[in-house]
Amino acid sequence: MPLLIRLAVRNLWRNRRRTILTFGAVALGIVYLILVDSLLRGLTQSSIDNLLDFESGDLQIHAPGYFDEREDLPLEPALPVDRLINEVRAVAGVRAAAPRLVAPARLHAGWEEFPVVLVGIEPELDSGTLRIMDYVEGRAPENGAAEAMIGASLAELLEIGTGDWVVLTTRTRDGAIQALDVRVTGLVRTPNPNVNRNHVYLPLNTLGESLAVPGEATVIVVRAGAGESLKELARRVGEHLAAAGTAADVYTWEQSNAELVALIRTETVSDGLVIAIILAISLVGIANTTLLSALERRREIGTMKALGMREGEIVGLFLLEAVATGLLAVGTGFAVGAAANAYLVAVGMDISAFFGDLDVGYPVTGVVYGVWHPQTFVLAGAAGLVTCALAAYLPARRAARQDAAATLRP
Amino acid sequence: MALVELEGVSKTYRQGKLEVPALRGVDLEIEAGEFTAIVGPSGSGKTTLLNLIGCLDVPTAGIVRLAGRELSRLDRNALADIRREKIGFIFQSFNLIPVLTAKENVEFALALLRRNGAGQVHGEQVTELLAEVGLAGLENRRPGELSGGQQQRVAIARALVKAPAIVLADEPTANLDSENGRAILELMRAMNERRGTTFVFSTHDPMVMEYSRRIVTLQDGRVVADERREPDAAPHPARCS
Amino acid sequence: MRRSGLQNRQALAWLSCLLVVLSGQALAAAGLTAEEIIARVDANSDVQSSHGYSTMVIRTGRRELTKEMEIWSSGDNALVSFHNPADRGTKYLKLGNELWMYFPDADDLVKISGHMLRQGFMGSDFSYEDTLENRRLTDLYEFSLLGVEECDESECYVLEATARPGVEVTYARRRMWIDRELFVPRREELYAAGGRLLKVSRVERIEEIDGRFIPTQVTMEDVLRQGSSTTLFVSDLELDVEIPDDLFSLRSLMR
Ligand SMILES: Nc1ncnc2c1ncn2[C@@H]1O[C@H](COP(=O)(O)OP(=O)(O)OP(=O)(O)O)[C@@H](O)[C@H]1O
Ligand SMILES: [Mg+2]
Repeated sequence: MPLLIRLAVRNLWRNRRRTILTFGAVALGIVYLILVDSLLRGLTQSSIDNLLDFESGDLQIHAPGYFDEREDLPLEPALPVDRLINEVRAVAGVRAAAPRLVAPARLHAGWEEFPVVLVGIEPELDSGTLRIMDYVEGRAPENGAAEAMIGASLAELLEIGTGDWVVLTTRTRDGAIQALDVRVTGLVRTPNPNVNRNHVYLPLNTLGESLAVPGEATVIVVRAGAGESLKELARRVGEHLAAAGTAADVYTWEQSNAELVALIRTETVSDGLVIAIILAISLVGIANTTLLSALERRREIGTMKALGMREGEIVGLFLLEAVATGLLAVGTGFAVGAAANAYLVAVGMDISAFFGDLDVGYPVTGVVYGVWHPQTFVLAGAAGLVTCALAAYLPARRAARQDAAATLRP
Repeated sequence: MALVELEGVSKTYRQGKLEVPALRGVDLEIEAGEFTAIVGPSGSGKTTLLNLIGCLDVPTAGIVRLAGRELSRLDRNALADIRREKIGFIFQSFNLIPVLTAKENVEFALALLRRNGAGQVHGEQVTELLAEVGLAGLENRRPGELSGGQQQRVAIARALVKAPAIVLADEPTANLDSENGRAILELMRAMNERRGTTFVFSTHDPMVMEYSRRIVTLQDGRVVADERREPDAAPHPARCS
Repeated sequence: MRRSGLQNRQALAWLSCLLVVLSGQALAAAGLTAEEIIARVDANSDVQSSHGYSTMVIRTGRRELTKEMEIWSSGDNALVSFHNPADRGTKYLKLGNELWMYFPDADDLVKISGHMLRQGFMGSDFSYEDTLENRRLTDLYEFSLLGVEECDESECYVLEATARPGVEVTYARRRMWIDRELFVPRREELYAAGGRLLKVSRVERIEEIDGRFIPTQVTMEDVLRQGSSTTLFVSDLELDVEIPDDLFSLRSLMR
């Protein structure tokens, strides 16, 4: 081992406790970065999965003009289901498609009422498209029957169970108040809290007739085959429908859910914030260590200068020590981070501990799983090392510039 | 041409508004191979003079030449290069690098010198040198595990290993008892004789004078006497104890 | 008043309704058709303008809220200013088809539109939407006479109103009990498109003012909200008074 490296290593060893504190802070920062990033990515991934699997699908087809009004959930303009559904399913790259009729409503319970979203579904088609049907406690409502399944959180809040009757009020296409007396046949308990809190599912034909829009859907949700480019598929579906003489607009989930997409983007910013915090910790830790050891080793530095070491070489020696600390920290950070992340990936973390039932805008409940993202390791490692070197530079240069004659005086 | 030439060298330290003159117009020449003692009362400027010769400091006025090169013309890096290649230092408080072993301390000086790929450090050569200064078997001890006299021997080996043009020793025996001090002086003189290395050292130990061929006396920053003489006792060969 | 409010129509519209007056003497109407009865109610409730005070008692579950207001109305416009401490300075302005609310604490002027129209007016069982209806009931509904029934110790015609095809109405069907002598509605039931009863209103007091018969106490009950009802008391009502036109303006709202 070259003498300089040996010297650096022994100097670190000489101040074991300080070295461990410093390297511990940096390593902790790296572990933290790896885990926070992993959880945020996991959160994003689950959010997108939950959104796509339980609410929006990959693509949404609306009647022209619907999209801009979609916040209000209007019944018009709507799509004729029979004419469209088979056309859509015929497009290459479409794995599944299902019609849905979505309307705002109020669910009445005693003297209280709660805003809910009514979703008319065709159970057969819906179960191949979205995954609501896999999460029903009880059974799905039958076509034509005055039956509904409701989100489990909503049911628990209102103390409603399977077999109970509930009243829903909404508006028909003509704006008249409609009241629906329906029997609850099932509770929907999905990983998507929006669905559990807000959604009430009725058979498409029951709802369509009650709202004076029989045979119509406000949206047809589409699932793409594996590996399909959604933009490309949206274009193909649009062209196919146009060729078939049906006016319809096709959107990707990203277009339909700009809010979530924006939220995910903010997350990237907060990721940057975490990095900045870690860098700050490392910066302070390493700068402090270098400063202290430079102070302690004034005489030693003077000796080295007398022996003919250039100032730059002395700075280099300190940088070597800082980078060695950094390497140690990065190594430890990687090891601990990888182990902890393996746990997060396998077992996950219950985020309700942090957020409770608070709606933070992510369609996620309960356990969030970590993901593996090698770039984060690279980024964390590089950030750690660069910070260590940067932090050591100024104190080292100050120490190296000291007047050797003065420091060597007995 | 003398190895060291000082012409009208003055050095004034500033302490706030106070000016402290440490040297006032010193003229001095030291030839290669000389074994010179700088003596004088405390504060007379001995350390300052050695630092100027050793390129650790620059004079306020006057010229310092080392092997014909004028030092005031050189930048910090060039001065460092001269110290590395031409000068060996021995300090009153030894100043070994505490985390390195005796051998490594010596190798360190050599490594600096050969840093530019001038070849491997010869471990054997270093071991031999350590044996020569009386440290056979102690090569792998750290400074903390050595006595003062032993540490100073390591320092001498460190100074000599690169075959410098001049060794500057500032009160090398001041922290040693008289027996150890004597041994160190004898070692230095033996090296001076055997290798022809130029030694300049400061002291106020009268014993040191016995060993010197030339004694330069400083007072208040001026050279007040410069006498050449035969040493009192015939030089002993360095004892390898 | 051009509008054709039946007195107990929900709303402030109702309000004008409240102020609506019969032409005076009750005709002993015999053999009238449903249309003739409604025409009589409409024709006899022609008030140009009015000014009065009203107290609204809102009961929801165990809670009871009381709101005091002063009301001006003229044609399709109305201004309501609240006087009870909690809402003092809050104002409601109806300008034709538009609704505005002014909240003094926030110094905030809000146009009530879209979904907000469906919410209860100041937390009551009347919706904002209910207060907006300007069109004649006979334009919106087809009426049929179901018979005559005893209602609050009076003889009443029972009329059924069904939305005309293609006309947008909030309540697909209504049933009204019209006093045979006064031609003032005494009770009304409002139904959803599927036939479910949604709201019931009862006229609990009718006063004679300037020779007209005006309902001055009306209770509206939201059947779907258990234990929820709103009672409106009207007092010091003056009819056909002079009201400066610029009273019904956004500027007057901010004053
Ligand atoms: N960095 C400094 N700043 C101010 N004054 C200094 C400085 N270094 C030395 N001096 C002063 O310069 C003068 C000469 O000091 P120097 O150390 O050269 O004397 P010396 O002969 O080596 O003394 P000693 O025998 O005590 O080592 C002294 O008066 C000393 O106080
Ligand atoms: Mg001195």
